[in-house]
Amino acid sequence: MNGIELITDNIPSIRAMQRLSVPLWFALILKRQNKCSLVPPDWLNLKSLQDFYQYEVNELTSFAKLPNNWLEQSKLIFEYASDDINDEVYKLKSLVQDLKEIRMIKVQKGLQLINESHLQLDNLSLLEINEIRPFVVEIMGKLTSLDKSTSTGMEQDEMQYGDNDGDIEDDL
Amino acid sequence: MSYYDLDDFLSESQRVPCKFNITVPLLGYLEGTPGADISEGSKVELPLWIAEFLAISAVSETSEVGFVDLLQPEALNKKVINAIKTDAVSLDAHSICQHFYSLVEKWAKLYNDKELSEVAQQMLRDRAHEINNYAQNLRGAHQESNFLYSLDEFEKVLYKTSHDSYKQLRKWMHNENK
Repeated sequence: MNGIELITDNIPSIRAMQRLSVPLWFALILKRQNKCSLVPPDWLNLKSLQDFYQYEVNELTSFAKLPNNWLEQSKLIFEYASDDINDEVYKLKSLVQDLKEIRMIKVQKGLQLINESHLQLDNLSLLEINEIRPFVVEIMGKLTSLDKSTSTGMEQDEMQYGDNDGDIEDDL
Repeated sequence: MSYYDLDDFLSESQRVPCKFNITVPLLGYLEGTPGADISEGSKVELPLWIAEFLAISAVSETSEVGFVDLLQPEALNKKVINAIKTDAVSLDAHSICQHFYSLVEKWAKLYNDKELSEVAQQMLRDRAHEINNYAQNLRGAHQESNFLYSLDEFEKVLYKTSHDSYKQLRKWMHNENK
C-alpha cells in the first residue's frame, strides 16, 4: 500500500513483513482486518512494568515516567491486540491496575498539601489528571477566593494552573 | 462567582445580627411590632446583603456613624472557630451555616480578617481529603453517612462533581458505555 499524507501524521508506504511505526488508530484498523501484528510499546511488558511499579513503591514523592497516555494505550492494546503481547496478558493487566492504584494513592497524599495557587503533577498522565481535575479546580478556586478576600492575600494573588500541563508536554 | 449564581444569592440572604445606631420611624415590623418605631440600640437579624450596606453607609454626610453595627454571626463565633481548629473533619458545617465558606469569604472581606480566612482555608484542606475519600467510593451518592450530611453547600457540589468524575473514569475502564 502507498503511503498517505495526513495533517497530524504520515502513514508510510507499507510492504509485507516490514516493521513500521504507524499511528495507533491505523494499526488497530489493520489489526482488526488481520493485516498486521502489533509490536507492543517498549514499556508495555512484564519487566518494565515491574520496574515502574518498584519505582512507585520506592519513590514516595515522585511518579514514574510513564507515557502521558499509558492507561489509554494499554487499554486499547489489551482489548484489540492481546494476542500480540509476549507476556501473559492477565499479569500485565493486573500490573497496570496496581500501577494505577499506587499512583492514585500518591495523588491523594499530595492533595492534602493543596494550596490556593500551585499544584505540581510531574509525570502524571492526562487521564489521571482529568480524574482529579474537577475536584482540584473547585478546591483551588475556593481557596483562592478565600485567600483573596483579605487585602494582604490580594497582593500575592497568582494563579499557576498552567504548571500541570507544562511537564506533560515535555514528555510528548 | 457568576452573576446569577443561586448559591451566591442564598449566601447573601443569610441573616446576621445587627444593632441599630439610630431610631428609625415605622421600622418596628422588623422586631415584630408593626407600626412602631425601631429604637436605637435594638438588635435585629438582617440579611447580609442589606446589613452590609447599612453598616458601611453613614447616616448623614457629617457623621461617621453607620445605620447599624454588624455583630458577629453565631456561625463565626469563638466556639465554632475553636471547633474548626481542633477537628475540622468532624464539624457539622451544614447545621452551623449552609453556606459557611461564602459567609467566611464575605465576612473576611468586610473586616479584612486574615485569621478567619486562614482558618477556613485550613478547614477546607482538611475536609477536602475526607470528601475525596467519600467521592471515590463506588456505592455512589446514595450512601448513608453522617459526614456527607455535615457538608456545606459548596462541599456538596465538590463532592458531587468529583464523584461523577471518578465514576465516569471507572465506566470507561470497564467499557460500560451508557
